[in-house]
Amino acid sequence: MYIEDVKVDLDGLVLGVLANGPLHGYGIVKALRAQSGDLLKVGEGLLYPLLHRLEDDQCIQAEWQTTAEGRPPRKVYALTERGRKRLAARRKEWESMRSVVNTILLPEGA
Amino acid sequence: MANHIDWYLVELERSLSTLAEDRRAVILLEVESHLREQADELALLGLDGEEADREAVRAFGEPRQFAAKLVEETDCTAEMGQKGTALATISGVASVVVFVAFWGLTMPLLIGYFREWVLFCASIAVAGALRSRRMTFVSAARTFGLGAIVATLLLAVFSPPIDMAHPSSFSFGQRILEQFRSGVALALAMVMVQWVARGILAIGRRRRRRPARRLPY
Repeated sequence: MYIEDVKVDLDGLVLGVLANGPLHGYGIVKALRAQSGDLLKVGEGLLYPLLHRLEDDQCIQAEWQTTAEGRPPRKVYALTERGRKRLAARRKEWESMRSVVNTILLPEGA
Repeated sequence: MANHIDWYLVELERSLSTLAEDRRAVILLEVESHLREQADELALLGLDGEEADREAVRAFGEPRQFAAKLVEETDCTAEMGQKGTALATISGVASVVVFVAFWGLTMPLLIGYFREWVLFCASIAVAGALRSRRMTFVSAARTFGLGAIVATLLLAVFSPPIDMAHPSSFSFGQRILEQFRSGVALALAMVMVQWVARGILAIGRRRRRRPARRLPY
């Protein structure tokens, strides 16, 4: 594990949010904010390129949903089987990373 | 200022000009949906219409930077693969027609055609190897593929005919290698010319230095 890996894993967070059910881009922004107690604010400029990459990688799939009349449709993203596997891998990585960081930052008796 | 969201979408569309039209349309529709929904919610929280639009747009950042990130992450290989396949098929069929019409379908012709086809396939394979999410490489790969096709056809038309009466006068393997080298060299030259031209144009643009389009506030 390299020190560069110790950062917020946005891919993992988005996959984690989508594990609760399909959401559109704005829904993902709001869910991340709500689930983190308003601590995580992901800029849309960062989110959409990431969503498109995950879609290209077939970790998520999208479908268009109609909305209120006069409003553009929503592109709703859902997790695929491949996405679930990637999420499981990210969870595992995060667990090991957390234990490593805890060992240093929160040693027993500190 | 008529409407911040409309302005943003126009600027974003302009900045996404390197993407295929259908891909661009999908991105714009998705962004518009997001902006309008967010602006509606902000308006419900008490912001006036213009302020709500402005706040929604602000979250996306500069359209150029946002577009650059989108282009960087967009997988162009599918679009390029479709175009490459179509181009390969059309050129292949066209070259068969040319060969048959001018020389008749004989055994030496078939051997010669196979030789050209090897170069053609090799060029497509190299173009495929250059596939990347980065538009620079995709563009270079397109130029390379096109250059190899043009080179192949030119070499096919102008190369000396095979002397079947004296088969020892040529080595089939050597001729393939020779033509392949020439085709690849020509294609690479086209890529180099493209890069040099881009460099010159970029320098020219820098000298003119247009003011960057920024958020209108």
